[in-house]
Amino acid sequence: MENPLHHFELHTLVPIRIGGLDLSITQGVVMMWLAVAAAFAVLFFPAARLKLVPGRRQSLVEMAVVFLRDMSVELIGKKGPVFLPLLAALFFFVLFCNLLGLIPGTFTATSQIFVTGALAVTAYFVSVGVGLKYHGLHYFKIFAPTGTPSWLVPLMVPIEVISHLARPLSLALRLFANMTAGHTILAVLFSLTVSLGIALGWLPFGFTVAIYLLEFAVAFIQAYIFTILTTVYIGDAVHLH
Amino acid sequence: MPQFDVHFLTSSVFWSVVSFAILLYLLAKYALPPVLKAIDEREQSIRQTINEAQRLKAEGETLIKEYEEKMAAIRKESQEILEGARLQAQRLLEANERETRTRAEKILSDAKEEIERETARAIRDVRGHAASLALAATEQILRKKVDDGDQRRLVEEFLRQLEAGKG
Repeated sequence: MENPLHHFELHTLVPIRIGGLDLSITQGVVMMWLAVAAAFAVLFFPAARLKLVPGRRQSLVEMAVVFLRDMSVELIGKKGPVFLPLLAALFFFVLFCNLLGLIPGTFTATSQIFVTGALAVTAYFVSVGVGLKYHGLHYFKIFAPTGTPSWLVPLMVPIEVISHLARPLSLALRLFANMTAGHTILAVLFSLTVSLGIALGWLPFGFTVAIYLLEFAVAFIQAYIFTILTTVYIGDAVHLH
Repeated sequence: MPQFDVHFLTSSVFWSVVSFAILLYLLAKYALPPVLKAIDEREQSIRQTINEAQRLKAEGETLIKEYEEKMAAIRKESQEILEGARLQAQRLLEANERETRTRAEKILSDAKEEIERETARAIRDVRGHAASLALAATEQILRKKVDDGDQRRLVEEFLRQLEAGKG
């Protein structure tokens, strides 16, 4: 049986080396570009094509945009829509990486911990930057919220710092683990199907189809979770709890 | 797991940040503004339409109210006119009846008077005629037996009797 983790391996397509850094184009990078292109193709309307009575694609896009906008208002407040481009870019980047990865024979960029890590750290830095911009150095009071008894401060600060630093980690791990797990299960079931042949292979194949549908839902759910948590973190930075 | 192979760390991190930044730029610059504008325009148009509809509804309601008030006034007026007409008709009818009755009574009384007059005249005529007849008869008889005093007396008695019957 083929190693089910084999298809997570990256391969250099175009070797690039700048300074001491390896910036080679891998199939993961190509998938990210495709995701960017697909997201833009779906979301972009030339002004003349936007109708007061929307068509199907416009309805869908508007629904998603309004959903994200309302979420930002609810979790961040009146300034929420300022972050809409960032949240939309996060949501659609993750969503299209997830969805394109579901096409058989392609590669799931979001199953790479370094990719999800880069996104999570970016989102985290944005939330910290927002906090510093809105509150200056007062932002660091979130590590010792007002009302904390002074004798608890030595305990509270490390706990708060750790929980704060756990945010990007959990963001990165959640997405990476979900994508990896789903695709591993699909790979295992499919290689079972192949090795069992027609006589028994229909059983794992049925599961493959079911898991595939589940993965389709997971693609949306994980993109949503990644975005809503980022929104929550930005909201925290704006409001300091 | 192949994902933890740090060989592609820099490439993955670099290109995912770059790809994400490109998408962020494309969405912020090109894709989102027109969509947000379209959403705002639609919201505005819906709000305007609702306001317009509410205004028209209020207008319609006042119109209906005015119309109903007018209708009520008209109904009342027509009722009054009808009532007046009925009263007038009744008055006319009563006057007519009274006039007819008095006229009929007059005709009746006139007729009665005429009849009485005619009757009286007839009686007078008959009496006159009877007297002359009696006179003529008397004359005839007298011409035959003029001398007979008894008979003259009889005639005179007869005449007296006639005279008495006249009353």
